[in-house]
Amino acid sequence: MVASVAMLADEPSLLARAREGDRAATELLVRRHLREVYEVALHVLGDRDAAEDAAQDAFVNALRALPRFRGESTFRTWLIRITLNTARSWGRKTTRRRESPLALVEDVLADDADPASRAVQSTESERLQHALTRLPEKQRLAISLRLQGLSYAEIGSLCGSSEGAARVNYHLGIKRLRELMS
Amino acid sequence: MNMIDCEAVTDLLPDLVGGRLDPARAATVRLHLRECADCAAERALLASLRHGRGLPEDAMVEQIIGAVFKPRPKSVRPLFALAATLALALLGGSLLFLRPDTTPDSLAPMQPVAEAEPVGAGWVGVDAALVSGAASLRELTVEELEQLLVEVGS
Repeated sequence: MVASVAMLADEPSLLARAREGDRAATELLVRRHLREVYEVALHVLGDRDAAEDAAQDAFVNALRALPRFRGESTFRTWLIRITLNTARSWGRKTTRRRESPLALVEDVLADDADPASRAVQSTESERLQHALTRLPEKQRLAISLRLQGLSYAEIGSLCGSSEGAARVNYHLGIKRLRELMS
Repeated sequence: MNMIDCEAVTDLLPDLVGGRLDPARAATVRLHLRECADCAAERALLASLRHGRGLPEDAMVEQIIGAVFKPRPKSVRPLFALAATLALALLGGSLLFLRPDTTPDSLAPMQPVAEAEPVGAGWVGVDAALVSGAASLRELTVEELEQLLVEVGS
């Protein structure tokens, strides 16, 4: 009950308390944004384990930089920007070492693994996640960020493009995803 | 009558899936979805994108908070500063000690360093070892001085 009431705390006061080193407020901020940070990292990296690690790194980076957050954008947009940078950095570090997630799944499915594992791997959700990795990054990000509720203007700002370009990237990405999934 | 077209609906679908639409707007979009298979398929696609496996939230939060609040390791900079100060003090002392006398009879050959009156065992030992072959620190090249600083610092 206390936790659920605390979750309703307004963001500016949570941020102020977190800046002062309040552990409970910091934890609430993390819980409030954890899923969206993870999803953005997942859509950049296309790998769930890497996305978990990148999401954690993004939070640590953001919370350490919190004293420098000047409130020129919302905390959420600022956090997502840090997440994008962290995930891209993770992607650069791991690209050389990892095969593409799609290739890995195909390997698993081709293998004579136990039926339960194969069933898990072959869910529509998995197919979709991996189809997503086949989109150009701008389209993938536009979809991911739009799903997090960001406006096209915010997406354009984060991706270094115009609002119109962000909108086009979103719709082209959805169209391509539907083709890949049909 | 449905008052919203496919273009407007597809723009709103991410917000519908995310539960961010106000009830009236959501009802309008849902009405359209009942009649439009294409938009309904797109909504299903977006909903699937939001369904991931369960996140180990507690473990992740614990790790993040642990990393942010863990005590930082003590900086090693003070040690470097101390070593650098010591090195500069030794170098300065050496220059003063080995400085040629400016009195007229300073033309007399300089006493070998090894014969200098010891001020401190460590100081003399280091200096004697490092300046062997050079009558004065002034004769050392920049590289040799840098090497001297490194050795004194270590």
